[in-house]
Amino acid sequence: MSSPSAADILREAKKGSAELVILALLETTPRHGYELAARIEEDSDGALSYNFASLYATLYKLEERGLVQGRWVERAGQRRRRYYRLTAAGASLLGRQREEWKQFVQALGRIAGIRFA
Amino acid sequence: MNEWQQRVRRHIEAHGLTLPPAVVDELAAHLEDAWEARRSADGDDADTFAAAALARADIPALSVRRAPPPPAPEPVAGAMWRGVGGELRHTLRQLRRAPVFTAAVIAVLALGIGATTAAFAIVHAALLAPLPYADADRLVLVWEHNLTRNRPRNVINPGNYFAWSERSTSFDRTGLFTPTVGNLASDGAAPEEVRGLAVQPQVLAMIGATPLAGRLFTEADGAPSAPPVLLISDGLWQRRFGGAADVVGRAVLLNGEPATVVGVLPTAIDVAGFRGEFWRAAALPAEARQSFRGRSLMAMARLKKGVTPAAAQQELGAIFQGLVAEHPEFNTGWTLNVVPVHEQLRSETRPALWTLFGAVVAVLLIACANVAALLLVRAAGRRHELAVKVSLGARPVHLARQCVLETAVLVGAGGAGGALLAAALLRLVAATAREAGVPITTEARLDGTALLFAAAITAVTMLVCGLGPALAARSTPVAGTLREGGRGQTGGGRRWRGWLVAGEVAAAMLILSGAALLGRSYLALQQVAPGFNPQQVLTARVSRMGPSAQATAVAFTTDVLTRLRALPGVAAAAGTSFLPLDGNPGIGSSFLLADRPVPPAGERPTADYRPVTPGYFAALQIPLHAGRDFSDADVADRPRVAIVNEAFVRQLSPDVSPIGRRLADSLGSEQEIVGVVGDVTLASLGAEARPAIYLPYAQQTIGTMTFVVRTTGDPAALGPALAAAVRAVDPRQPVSDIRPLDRVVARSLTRPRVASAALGLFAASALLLAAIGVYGVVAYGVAQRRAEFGVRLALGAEPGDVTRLVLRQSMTVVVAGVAIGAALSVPLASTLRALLYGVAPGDPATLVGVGALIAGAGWLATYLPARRGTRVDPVETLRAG
Repeated sequence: MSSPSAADILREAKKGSAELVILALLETTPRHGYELAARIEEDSDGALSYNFASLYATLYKLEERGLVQGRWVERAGQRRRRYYRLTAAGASLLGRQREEWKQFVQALGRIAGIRFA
Repeated sequence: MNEWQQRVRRHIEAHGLTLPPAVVDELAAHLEDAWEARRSADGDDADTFAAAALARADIPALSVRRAPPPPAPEPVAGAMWRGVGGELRHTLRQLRRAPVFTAAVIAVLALGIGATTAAFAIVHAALLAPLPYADADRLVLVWEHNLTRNRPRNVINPGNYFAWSERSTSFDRTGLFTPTVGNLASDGAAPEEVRGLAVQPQVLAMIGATPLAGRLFTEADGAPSAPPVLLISDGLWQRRFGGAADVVGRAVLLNGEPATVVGVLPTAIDVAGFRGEFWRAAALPAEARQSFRGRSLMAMARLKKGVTPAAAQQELGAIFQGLVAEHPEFNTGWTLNVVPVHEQLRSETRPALWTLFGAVVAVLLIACANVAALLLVRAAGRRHELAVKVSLGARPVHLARQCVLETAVLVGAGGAGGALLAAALLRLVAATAREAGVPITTEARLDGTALLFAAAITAVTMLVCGLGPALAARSTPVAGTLREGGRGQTGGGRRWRGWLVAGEVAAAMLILSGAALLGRSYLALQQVAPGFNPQQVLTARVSRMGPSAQATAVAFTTDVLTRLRALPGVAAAAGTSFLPLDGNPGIGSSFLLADRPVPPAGERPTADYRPVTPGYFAALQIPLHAGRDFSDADVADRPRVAIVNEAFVRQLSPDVSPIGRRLADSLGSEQEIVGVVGDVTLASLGAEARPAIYLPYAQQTIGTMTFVVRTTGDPAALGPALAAAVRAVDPRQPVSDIRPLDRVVARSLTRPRVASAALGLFAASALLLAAIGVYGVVAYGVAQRRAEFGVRLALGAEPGDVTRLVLRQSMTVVVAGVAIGAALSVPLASTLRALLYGVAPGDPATLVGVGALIAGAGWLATYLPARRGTRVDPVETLRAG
């Protein structure tokens, strides 16, 4: 059995990070799916980007778990869009995940000599 | 469902999944956002980019939102309609998103379709629907035609009637009738004056009348010795007899003579337009066959199968030549005139009704043009969206279908609203018409035919409105539109809208000029001096009928007048047999001047004969120009006298004073002319004054008398006192039509007033709609050209230059529309000729005035949006571009 390549590890990390990223972006403002995708790509300078179907699959899973709530909104001169906002349960999960990721990244730094600015 | 949604759905289905529509919508919205963002970033590969994103989509991951399986397999037809249903839902959602646009379009269409349907129902009832007679197209009226006086529908002579009806082979039945009035008394109740018809029994059979109770007249009822019998109308039955079941067989008094009610007829029954509340079996004495004096009857005839009215006319013309030879004194200068009943009933109202219908259709066309323009503007706004869909594989036919669906929804809603509006309009028109005494429209209603018509014009409207946008959608040029970024407009679109506006303006010009002509005619008619002063005069009619009436008429009238003059508030009181402008032209007859050689038969002068009481001219303030008024001394056993009018003097005694000249009437008695009075309009305002001969009532007594009472206060308030004065003389004498004379005069102008008001209403709507059309198109054009104006302003153009540019382009179209409308209105207005008075069809002042009004409205409708074009910030627009 060959060991996983760096790319494989990153893909898994990305997948694992999707929930955190989405919850974090919804922390202050409700956003629609496209806006989320665009912000993720923009804020990560293109390092993070999700297949748009997977993004929605994640959103739907979060919604089913009661962590976010979606609502169709129609604004004058705009097409109909579904906006997602963080629920109270989502906010507390976000806090926990932030803590776990922080510990994980710090551990990684100590062991692999990766420093974060 | 839009194209993005369809593509997403197809893509999901290709993975063997069915997901809820909400998921499809959300993914489609995402793709559309991505496409737009990509295009605004650098443009060209946005389509590929969006298509690739969809292709890469990890669809199986979405199965967390798998839709529940459908409950049962759909039938094939359902599957076929599913696409349309989705598209319909999409269309409805789209329309809901633009509520102002949707409401405006539906309202404009409902107005147009509703007005047109109502107008059609009226035209249909009045002009097109089959007449309510058996064999209606074989029924004709036969009139005598006075060639010298140009009166083609003159009442007829009984001797002539019997001669031609027996000699002719064109008819299988003929019969005489004549309108009449009668004082009806029953069960000891007060008598009332009732209008009716005297008919020969075969006339009611010819029109196919069916009694509601009892029977029709039999042949025997028409014999001179037969006991008098009556048919009464349903209305009279209810009103006078309380709908009593035993009314048939009841004895009543008609004009003081006993008669028996033998049946009840529907109130709506008419004999070629002549209605009544009772029908009396006319019994003509045997000597009527040989009577070649006087004309007072009407004849209806039924053509044999296969005989045309023209053939009957030819035959009767030849027969009448024989009658001229047999009775040259009486018949020279006359012939017979065969008029089909439908022509008789409809020829008079036809020009007015078709004019109104034409105006309404023109309003509908303007409404269509407005809606088409709105749809085009909307389509242009969505060209960008359509182009995207085409680039993603939508077929142009598909896009056209979507446009058609949208038009169908809008026009369908407009049509349904229109049908409701038409029903309401018809009720309103019927109520107004009843009030105004215009009988033609009361039968008009929203029946199957009218609804069919509404459906048909809705379909045509759909075609007219939807064709432009659908064609525009089909020919959406993908690359060009996408490069423009949705800002530009094609020359083709601008041309389309130019034509629409020019067409609207031309149609508005047509209606407005027609309405202006009718309005000017009505004003001119109102200015016509009737020759008397109708203010502060009360009138009331009495009919003295029956065996002793003639003998007591003079004493009765004198007695009533004495009482009337003694009433407080009465300045003058008199009587006349025929009230001016009351719709009864009275007696016309030929006469001779005793001091002149007898002219050949057919060239004898004719005049209107008017029996009046002394004081009549003073009461109506008709000026006495020469000689004297009648006096109480001008009674039956005194020398017979007459007063003539100015038209008489102009035509018959222009050089010699007529005072003292002697007249001989057609019955052989002579009168000496003792006075000359001013002309009075007798038949209708605007008609030329004809020679008139007034006779003293005491020397020429007629059963009908209308009292005219000049009052010092409100004439209407005197009504009860007037009726009481009549009853004080004869308690059983009915008094009818108590009303002020100015109302009689106003009523004689009902037709021109209604016609000009109706056309004026449509003209105002046309002007408003056309102005809205111009405004909408210009406003849209200005919005589309913001970038261009920005460039112009940036290059140094003044705001005024931009406004002038827009005004010049728009006014070119408006002026072209006015010119087209003016050119078309001249030939069209000549169809109005019969309705015009004092103004010619192509009247230049009217055309110029109307043209200026429309151009002014067009200028205003252009100027308002054009000014907005100048408020463009050049920097902002250029950056946005």
